[in-house]
Amino acid sequence: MTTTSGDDRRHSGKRAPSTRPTAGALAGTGTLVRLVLRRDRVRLPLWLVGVVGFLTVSAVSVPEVYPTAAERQARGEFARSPVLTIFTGPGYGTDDYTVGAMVANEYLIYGVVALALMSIFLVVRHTRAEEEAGRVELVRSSVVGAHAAPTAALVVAVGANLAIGAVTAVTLATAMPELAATGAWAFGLSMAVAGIVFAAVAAVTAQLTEHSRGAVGLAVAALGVAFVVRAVGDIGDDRTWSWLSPIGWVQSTRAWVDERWWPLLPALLLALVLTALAYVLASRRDVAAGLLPARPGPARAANWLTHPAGLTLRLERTALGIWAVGLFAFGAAFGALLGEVEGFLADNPQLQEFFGAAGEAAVLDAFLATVLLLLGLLAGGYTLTVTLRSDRDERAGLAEPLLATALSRVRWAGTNLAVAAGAGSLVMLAAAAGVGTTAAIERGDVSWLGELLIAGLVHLPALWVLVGVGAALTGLIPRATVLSWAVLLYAAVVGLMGDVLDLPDGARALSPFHHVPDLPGGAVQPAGPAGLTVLAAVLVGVGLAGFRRRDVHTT
Amino acid sequence: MDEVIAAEGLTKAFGQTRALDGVDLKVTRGEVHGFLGPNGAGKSTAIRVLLGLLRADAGRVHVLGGDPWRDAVPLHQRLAYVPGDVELWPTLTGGEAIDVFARLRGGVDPARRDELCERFDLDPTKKARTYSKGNRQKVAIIAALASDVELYLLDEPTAGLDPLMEAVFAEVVNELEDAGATVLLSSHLMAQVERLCGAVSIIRAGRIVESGTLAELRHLTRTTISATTRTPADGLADLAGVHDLRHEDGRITFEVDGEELHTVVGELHRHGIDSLISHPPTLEQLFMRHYERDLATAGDGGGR
Repeated sequence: MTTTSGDDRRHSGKRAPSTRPTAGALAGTGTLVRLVLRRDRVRLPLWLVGVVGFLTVSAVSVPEVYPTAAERQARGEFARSPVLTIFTGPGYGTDDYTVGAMVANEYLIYGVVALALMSIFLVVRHTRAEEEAGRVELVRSSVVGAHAAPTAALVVAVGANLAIGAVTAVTLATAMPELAATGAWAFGLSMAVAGIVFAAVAAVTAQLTEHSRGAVGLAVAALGVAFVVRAVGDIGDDRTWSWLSPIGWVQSTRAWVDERWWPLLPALLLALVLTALAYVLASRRDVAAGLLPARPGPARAANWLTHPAGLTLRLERTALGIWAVGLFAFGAAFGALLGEVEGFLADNPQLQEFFGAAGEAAVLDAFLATVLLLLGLLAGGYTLTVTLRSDRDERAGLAEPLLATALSRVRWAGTNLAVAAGAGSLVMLAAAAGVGTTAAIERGDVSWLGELLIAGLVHLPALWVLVGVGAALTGLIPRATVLSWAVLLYAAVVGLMGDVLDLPDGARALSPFHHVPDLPGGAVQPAGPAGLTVLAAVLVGVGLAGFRRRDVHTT
Repeated sequence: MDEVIAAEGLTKAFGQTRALDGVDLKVTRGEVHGFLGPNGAGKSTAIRVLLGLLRADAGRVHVLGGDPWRDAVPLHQRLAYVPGDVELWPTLTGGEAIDVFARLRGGVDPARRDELCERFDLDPTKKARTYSKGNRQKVAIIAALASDVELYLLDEPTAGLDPLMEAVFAEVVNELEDAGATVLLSSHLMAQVERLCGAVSIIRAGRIVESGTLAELRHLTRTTISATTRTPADGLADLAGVHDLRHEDGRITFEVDGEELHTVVGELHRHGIDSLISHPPTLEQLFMRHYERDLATAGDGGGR
């Protein structure tokens, strides 16, 4: 790039050297693509197996759980209700709810969200996280162009999405003869395109923040907004809002109903525009810098900062604030839909039958139970990131100097866990308060706020169990701390897919969220939360005891 | 004799690698003890065992009279540690990080802290992510030295510091010594150890290969002699204890073992000494003697 700006100067006389890296900006991309593939050679196949396996198992179970056309038709009626539409898809083909229509309508969203998350993690891991770790300097000092690293990450992300989409299409068409190949390709390509869009979103957010966690958070927030916008659109009559969301676009391909391909074009166009934006932003900043300059801070630590809890809270305060506000807003968006859910039921006598005598109340309760579960799972994800903070600090070499002071291991790790449990609880209650606030306004009845706060409260022990799982793994098997995410993932599958997959009770009982009482509406069963709390305490105790006995991981 | 650190037969393995292979280490109260060794010899592992961050597989270790694994917290109130590779929280300022470390240890003297910031030329209002390696190192050094403790464990503390700051560091260590503190200074910089330390332990491949005061160690090893004589001193090469004999422009230079010094100088005297320069053995020579042995064994192993 230096030679290019030299040429510029020669040709244009007095013009200042170009501020933008031009030719050669992509030099070295090929090598970096191989590096990304080498580093992710385990991760990417796991995503492939996980996503394809989950979707295939789910799709195969449809004809088993709904063997007759009549049963599928009843499900189709339900699928048209906002209760299901909000969480799944727009409901194409519910008039003749075939297996294909059901798979496309109810499962595409899982593929979309999974590939979007995979793409966000992948792109940030190979761009901002590399800069944060200081490795980019070394890479960039060799013959590597300014845009080579983000380009390499995007190339691999696009390839991985297309590969997973294609394997999904082929597997579905092969495993299930009733699913036509055209529909299978529409399904696979739709989710791949969604993944590609969010890879580009992450390429932009990686330019905005200095820390990789912030970049991931912003991109996931964008995913949440896209999800809510399409939910609002899908429960409307003409889906106007859905056309503002990339998820809405890819869900408009009508796989196995009446395939059309053009909705994928605006999504691909958006991905291109976002990629160009990422390049422009990257050209305007220094390596490792964010867009905001660093300001001086206090020369002395406040008194509370030198307490271990104060230190952890200080380090987590930005993320905690963003999560609390974000989940409050996410919850509020769902609470505001209460009227839609109820109004739909009044217009659909068939669905009233479906929900039986309890009628209106049962629909609202089913809706709110799903909302709270979803919010609980998200709060669980946040709780785990804070729980594993001590594990990250230990790996980064930050634990060593702290534990060389008069701070005991149990006090340090225990305080971190207490902060994780507290911060996770706060975020969960903020989410429940969000639902309750808009529900109370919508219904004109303040008691909804109280009811939803209680419904949020009973979720807390499930979050504490996640803290316990993280603590036990950190203390006993520090190499396997990443497995705590598997527990959350399992809870998501049980909670969101348990009925459709027809999971036995024994399998469901392994999810901590399975023991949360169904509130509002259901009876408060204190046994579940009490049992979860005891389990969490035991796991934390075991984890701390293990941490006391093992070597501190040193760099 | 008051032993601040007493370790016997420490072993520690990480998987197949034996990081410590029977380390014996004695540090007496009030001394500045150099802990010398090449990269990967086990210096940091040994220090982490002394801190109770790692548990030795075998051997006995006492620090300030306590067991570092069992009594970590009360012991850590009486010692301060500077790691070789300092990581800080990117969002905290250097000043905040210093206070966190120092207060968690049990208190900080603000005047001493500010004085050290000034002497080490550190701006404590900057966020840690903007610090260079040297500045992160200064944060750890200031946090450790601002505490009034009995024992300082310093693991290659000046890696990344410029020569000016190294000189400041040397000054501060001298002050600590005058104040009666005990210091274990791990390093691979011979000049630094030679200047600051009264006693030295040399570690190689997880074992202590030399230990003692500098004077004791020097006595055990070779002196370098460079001389011109009136008649050619040809017989020297045949004498016991003479090594590396070289002739340059009529000047003869060689190394001689401490115990043969008397005989060899007598032989020189017989030839009539015109000029004589004698160097005590440098630490570097001490160190290289063990290191060369390593290289020699490695060479044999390679089947050359």
